[in-house]
Amino acid sequence: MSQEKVVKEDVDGGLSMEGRVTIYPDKPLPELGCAGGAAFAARLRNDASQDLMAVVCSRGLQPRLDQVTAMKMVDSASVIRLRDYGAVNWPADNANYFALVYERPLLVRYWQSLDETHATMSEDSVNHTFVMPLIKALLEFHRTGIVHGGIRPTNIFWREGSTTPPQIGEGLSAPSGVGQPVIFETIERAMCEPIGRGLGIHLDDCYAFGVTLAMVVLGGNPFKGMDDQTIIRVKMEKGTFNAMIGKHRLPQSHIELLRGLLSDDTRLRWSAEDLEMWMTGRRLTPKSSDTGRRASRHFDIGGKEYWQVRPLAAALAQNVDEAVKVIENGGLEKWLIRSLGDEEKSKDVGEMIAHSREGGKSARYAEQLVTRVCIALDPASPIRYRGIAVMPAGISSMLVDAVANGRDVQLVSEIIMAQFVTAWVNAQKDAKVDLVPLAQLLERARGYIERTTFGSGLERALYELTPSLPCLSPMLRGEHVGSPRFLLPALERVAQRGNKPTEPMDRHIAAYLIAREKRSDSLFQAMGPTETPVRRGLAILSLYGELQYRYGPDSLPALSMWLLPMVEPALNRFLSKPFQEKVRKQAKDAVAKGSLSLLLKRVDDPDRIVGDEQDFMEARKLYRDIQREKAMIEQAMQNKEQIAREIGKPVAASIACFIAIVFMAVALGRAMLQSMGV
Amino acid sequence: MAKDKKPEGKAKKKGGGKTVLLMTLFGCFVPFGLPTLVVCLGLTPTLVALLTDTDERRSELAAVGYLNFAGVLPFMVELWQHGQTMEFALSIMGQSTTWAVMLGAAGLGHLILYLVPPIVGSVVRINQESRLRTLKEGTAQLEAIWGPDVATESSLSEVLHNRGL
Repeated sequence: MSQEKVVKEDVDGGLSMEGRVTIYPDKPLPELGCAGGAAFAARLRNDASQDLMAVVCSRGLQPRLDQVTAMKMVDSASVIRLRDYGAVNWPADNANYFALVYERPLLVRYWQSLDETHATMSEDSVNHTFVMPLIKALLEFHRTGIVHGGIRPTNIFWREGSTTPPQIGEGLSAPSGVGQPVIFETIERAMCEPIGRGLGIHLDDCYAFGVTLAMVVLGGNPFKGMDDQTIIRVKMEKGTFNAMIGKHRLPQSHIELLRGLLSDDTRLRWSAEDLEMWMTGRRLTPKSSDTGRRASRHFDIGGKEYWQVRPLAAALAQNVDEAVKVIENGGLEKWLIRSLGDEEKSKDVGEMIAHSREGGKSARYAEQLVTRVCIALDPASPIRYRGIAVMPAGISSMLVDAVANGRDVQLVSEIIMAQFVTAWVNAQKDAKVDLVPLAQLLERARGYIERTTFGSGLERALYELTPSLPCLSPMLRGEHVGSPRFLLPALERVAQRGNKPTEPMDRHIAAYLIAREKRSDSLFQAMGPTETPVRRGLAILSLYGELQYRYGPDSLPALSMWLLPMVEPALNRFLSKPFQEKVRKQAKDAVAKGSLSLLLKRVDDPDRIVGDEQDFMEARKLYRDIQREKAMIEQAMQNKEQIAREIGKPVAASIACFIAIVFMAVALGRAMLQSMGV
Repeated sequence: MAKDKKPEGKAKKKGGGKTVLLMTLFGCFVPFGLPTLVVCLGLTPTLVALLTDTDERRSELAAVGYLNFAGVLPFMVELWQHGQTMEFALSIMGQSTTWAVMLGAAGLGHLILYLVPPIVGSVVRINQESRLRTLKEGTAQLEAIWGPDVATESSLSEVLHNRGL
């Protein structure tokens, strides 16, 4: 992806995507639009014969850049093929957007809406024309490490009775889980905000496939007409399989398959490998989980009765004040032991309460206490805090969304600072080892947020948590800086605009470069607002000069001109005014050439600075000598008599001596002449 | 001890000059005898200057002495040419022209001493004023090149700090 190549290039009425693909904004494909953006007709430059579609990610959602490379490697007839991706300049918005270019699906969407009803197909027909191709697609996802996050009937392109296999549609234009209805998400992910679901795991795709398959074999949506909360509650109370299939009579193979796929316990859920075994005829026996284990007595919260731990945890999170009371008075722990008979969970809750009390009663004590207790009660569920629910892996995308779209950053920040992720990971009994890196990442993020220096803070946490995130600096709005190498060209374009900020540097750019370039913080500390303008200007110029040297382009005249007023105070270091003027002229020449490194060399050459300082010290000595001589002369001029005496009299004596010598010579000469008789 | 020695040496030097002069006069007296001494009466202004000139450099003595001697010298030569007799010496001294020449020459010395120092003083002053102008231009140039900081004694770091660096 070369940002330099993002040009407003009209080709045959289309826009060029980095010179490889032509996207036609006047040919929208509304039937192929998805969560991240609208779809438009597109063609490859080197192969115009194939009709493609480009999904232009223009809806403020971050595309999943970390998965595009893997998705390009997916080679399955059951997945629409990603052909290319890159940035495209969109003249209508005067902005650069990321675009994903796919081969167009061969058929229309299988279901246009989740409320549709379809005629049921025979077991054999479903298995051969629908299930098996999609199992192959899941195997391909598993092989390439992709979590699609968007498997559902409305994102599958197929027609019943067609010989063409079903194709799973686009899934990378938005964070995983965004755009996916609650029904296709596991109970834990369904409880989350869509943006906070996180990438998920392969088994989540298997679950979505299971729900999709259940709807296909049932011929409709069993949750039709239910709102999201009701769907989640029903799933929690009955388990997904029972909630969806209920008393429907299905072929044994489908019951077996769906029981495996719709297991609410990830440890028991079938993966693509299990599905492959099922496909080859090996029959597995799905185990039932104790997700819906009931207590002998109910627990009242918010005027409702709860018999199971999971719904109770959700209710506690929604009724914080009441929850704090039952937690603090020990009622919850007693219920866990006496009614549910789960001493281990009671012990976990007790530890969480003790941990919360250790931290002291802060302003958010009640909310934090309830969040921790909910983690202990239902470890698989998301972190629920102050009305939002987020999976630990979804904190990064939630933070990105909050920053990019101006939402409540403080809330996400509090989740990180309160160390809920560490508590959540510690609560995961079996999968704890795999999740430790996630906890460590969030701990590092907490450290960044605590530091307020330039280049740290929330922005640094943002870029460290999401390695594929482009720079979200407000000044780069409308640009797509997906790598440090594209920063300077983007800033050059910003510099050419009229409404640019005073400095081409902010906390976002600093944090982005530290995170992506693995740079030392010390250089960026010199750019902080508490530093002198000279130090800031030179530090920025030094950094950008190095970036220009490493990544180009050779000429950045507008950016150089933008930086010039910042480094102008540095010219005051040259004490000689004529030399200062000379350097100023040289700096302007460097600006005209657009060379940042040359500009830096002109204004910050240590040899010239030292030479100038030495000249200054010599000039100062000369000045002192002159002043001394002036004082002496002025003092001498005060006393004319002394001058006359000290200088005039010896001069007079000399003149008299000279005249006397002349006289004596004449007298002696005359006497000699007389004696010679002349 | 050094302090004690210095004035003593100075006194010796001062006394030494006079001794040399007296010895010279005495030297003149010995070869040429009494008649020459008579002619040397014309050096009376020099003798007066010797006694009255307090200037360390003896500029007055030198100016009067040289010209006075130049006024006396023709008559001494004339005396030597005529046998250096007392009669001729007295006849020379008896002529008013002789006195006029000898004392006039000494007077010329005094005139030079009166006129030259003020002239020299004026010339020196003109030179000093010219030099002063040059020096002022020099400082102005230095200030123009280096700014007012060139005239201060503040450290380099203070200078840079004052410039906002």
